[in-house]
Amino acid sequence: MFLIRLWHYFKGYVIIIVSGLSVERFINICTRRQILLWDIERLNDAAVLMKMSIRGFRNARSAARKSRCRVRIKAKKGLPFLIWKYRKRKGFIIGLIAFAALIYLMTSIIWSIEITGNYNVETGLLMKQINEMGIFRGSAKRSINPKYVADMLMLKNRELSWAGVEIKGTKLLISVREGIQPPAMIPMEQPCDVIASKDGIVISVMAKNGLALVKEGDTVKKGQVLISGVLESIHPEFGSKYVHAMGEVMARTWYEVKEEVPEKRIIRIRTGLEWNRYSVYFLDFRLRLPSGRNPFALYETSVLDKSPVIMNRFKFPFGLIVEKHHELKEEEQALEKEQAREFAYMIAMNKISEKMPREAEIVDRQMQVVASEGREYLLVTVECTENIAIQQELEGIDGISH
Amino acid sequence: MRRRKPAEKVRRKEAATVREKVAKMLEIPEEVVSDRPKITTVGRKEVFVENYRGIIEFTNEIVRINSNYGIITITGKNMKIREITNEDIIITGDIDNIDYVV
Repeated sequence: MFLIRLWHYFKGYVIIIVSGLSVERFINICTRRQILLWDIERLNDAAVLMKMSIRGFRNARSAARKSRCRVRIKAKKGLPFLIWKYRKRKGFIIGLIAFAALIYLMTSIIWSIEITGNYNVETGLLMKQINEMGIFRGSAKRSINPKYVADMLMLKNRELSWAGVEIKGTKLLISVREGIQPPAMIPMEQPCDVIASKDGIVISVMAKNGLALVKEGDTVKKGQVLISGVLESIHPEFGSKYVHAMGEVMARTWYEVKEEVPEKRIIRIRTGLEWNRYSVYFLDFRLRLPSGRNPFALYETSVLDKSPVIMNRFKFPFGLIVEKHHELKEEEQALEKEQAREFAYMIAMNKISEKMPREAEIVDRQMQVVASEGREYLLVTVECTENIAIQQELEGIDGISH
Repeated sequence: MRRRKPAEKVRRKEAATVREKVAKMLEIPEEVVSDRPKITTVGRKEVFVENYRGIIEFTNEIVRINSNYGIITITGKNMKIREITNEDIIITGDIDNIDYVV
């Protein structure tokens, strides 16, 4: 019902009063000529009120003559009449058209380019390649062929195993996947030794090439040769053979950190006071609005981007940025002994995990409280298993000739 | 010949036409092919009349509609025609009575 009314409103209609002795005849003639009538109401013995479409009204003239009725327009309703009424207000119409054109224009342009999924390939490089294809922020959406862009990216970057380009609203989304690269060729003609990268106790030796000089249970020092690339012949007159020594030497290693146990801790909390700095931006141009000086000495900021977004898809390159400054205050918090030690332990473990290689496996953790000069220290020792083998080129030998 | 003519006319009005017979055989809904009026009422407020020929009288209290099978008289109060097209007519108001006058 509402939809029909809306349709009538868009097409425009007239409310007419038909007076005469045979109004029924008028209605019959109209219906036979495919003129739609609705909301017909009897006013008195000789008059009827009805609604009729504009087009129907033009054809109803002869129907009125035939049925000898008088037709009088009571009101004109609908959009066509409204437009007719405002036809002379040019500014209004120009504004309407300009608005529609602007919306269309702004939404048919790429306003941001997003690259996701790349770890080893730099975003800047991909962006540069995209720019070389003639795609920039501000390019027309229809000038971009997503399939072509994806293919070109695949061709230019061997590291990528897949590239997908999608235009979502005013955003160009580029998602890539990187393939697993083939391992580097081992330079077998380069003779080398395998040495220890740090001190430790050897757990297992697996020599893939070369002569193992250490065995399980041996204590090794940093820099000590573990697997030798020099193979001595039992007959000294034949000389030595040089190989590219390879292998894995698992060893037990220790990491130690001494951390002071604090008596108190400084924590920062928000006081609840806020101060905002506003700025507007267009593309990369940012203009700070005068909003006074930051009244806080100690604060943290959070940034809110308030740019207009239509339907979660069409984002425009301008907007308002609100930087919220929250005032902070420092508070000292006295720590209980147990808590303090835990705190120190956490700091120590963080320091250790920074020193440890990622592949190392923690086997054991030990904690020791040491007191010296009135202060308390926490000594954390972590025992782990890791591969300590690293290769070192043999000097003075050019290469292996086979 | 002359004697049979009025009898035929009566039969045409009451008995089913060939078209209707065929429709019944093929199980097509009758109102699709027949020229009989179809009257639908929704509560007491609305009356739909399909397959009508034209309106004879229209006031707030009485609406008379011509059809192939006689005149349909609808009486009531505050009656209005909500919509009228070539095929159907929608009458709204407080309806009391729907009559056939053959």
